Amino acid sequence: MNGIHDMGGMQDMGPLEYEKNEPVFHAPWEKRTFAIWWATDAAPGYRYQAEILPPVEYLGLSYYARMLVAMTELLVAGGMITRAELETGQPMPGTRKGELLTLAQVPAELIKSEPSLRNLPIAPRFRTGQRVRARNLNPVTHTRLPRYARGKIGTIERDHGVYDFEDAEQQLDKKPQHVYSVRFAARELWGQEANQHDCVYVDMWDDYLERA
Amino acid sequence: MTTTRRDFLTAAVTAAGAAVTPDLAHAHEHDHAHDHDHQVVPSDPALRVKALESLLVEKGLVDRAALDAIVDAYEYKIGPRNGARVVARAWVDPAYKQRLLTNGAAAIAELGYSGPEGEQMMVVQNTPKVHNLVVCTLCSCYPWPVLGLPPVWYKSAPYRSRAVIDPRGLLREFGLHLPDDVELRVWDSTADLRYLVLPERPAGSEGLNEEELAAWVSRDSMIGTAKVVKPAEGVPA
Repeated sequence: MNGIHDMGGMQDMGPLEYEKNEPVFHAPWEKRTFAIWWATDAAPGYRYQAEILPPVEYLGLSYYARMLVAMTELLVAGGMITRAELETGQPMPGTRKGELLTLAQVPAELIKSEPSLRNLPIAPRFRTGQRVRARNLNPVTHTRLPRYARGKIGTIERDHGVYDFEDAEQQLDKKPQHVYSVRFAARELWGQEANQHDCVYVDMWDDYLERA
Repeated sequence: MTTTRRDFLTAAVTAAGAAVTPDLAHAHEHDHAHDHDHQVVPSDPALRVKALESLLVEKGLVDRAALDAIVDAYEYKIGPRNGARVVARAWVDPAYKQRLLTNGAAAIAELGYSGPEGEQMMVVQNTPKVHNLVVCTLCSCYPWPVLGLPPVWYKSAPYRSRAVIDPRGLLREFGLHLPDDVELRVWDSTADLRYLVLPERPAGSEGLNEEELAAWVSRDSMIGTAKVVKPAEGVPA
């Protein structure tokens, strides 16, 4: 989705606002939003829900407000809660049951690393040092291929191994494939005005790349 | 067990299908429905999340005590002090540093730090000739086990938009002026890897022990928007 979330390279977003000694959360509701998101494991699918917010809404909402809106949509879409229940605050029969994260499970969950790296015998399509071009793809669904890199030529710096393809997150076939660190010279991305020593590394799946 | 938990909502959403994968033809209709729905829930996020929490608790989908424990962990335990200890260890132990640069997550786990948003971590090293800067242009990806939850500016539009096109200008706003001939590497965390910068050990830190060194390491130096400097008297990094 060519949405407002894909903002790498935009120049009119205003000054950086830096808060010294910033607290982890700024309000109690942010804590509850984050914790519910964490406990219900709303991470998969959540990003796309945030990305399809209308741009004005996306920019107008804080990070945790977006999280709250997107998570609520996801819980409704997943059938855990209904809009009627949200209106009345009363549970109704007929919705899905989730798996409850209990207090006793939290300590182990906090340090658990679920391996995203897949141990699958899938051959890489590119090798380290190879020149590649990021494909010009414009899916209306979730993608991790930022607009600023599309059509640009870079170099495979490192093969990170096989990962599920995030673009296929909502599909049953997760299309596992190699992810590479691809180095793009700043001048390739932004033209000759850019510093000749600068570069941007983008992590890219096989499906994003073609031979250059 | 966790895999089940992680997959649960995804599976439910996949089952719900079109509900979260709207085709463009119906996008407007969908938005209008949203506008209507939004009017019937409290506009104040504090009220909204309170209502949502109560409902989920009543339905047996969340446990309030578990929520409290999660908040407590991210407020007090999982934060940049973890990353600072990793950096200090790398400064005093060359073998550890080598392991850290080769397999970040495994070396970080040696110090007891692991968890969500840190399954795969890559540590990138600053030198006199190379400076690294981490961003997530599409979202706010950040290495939680070592840095905790990201600050507001890291998640903000100005940072995410400019870090890739004008990183030097952005760094100047942080007070960091990079010489023109230093190679600036910007890491856009677009996939499942999370990035931690290993800053240079500063002059004046000779003779400090690991714990003292860790106290010098700031969060920003591990994102790449600052260098590690000797802290001013009485001011923590």
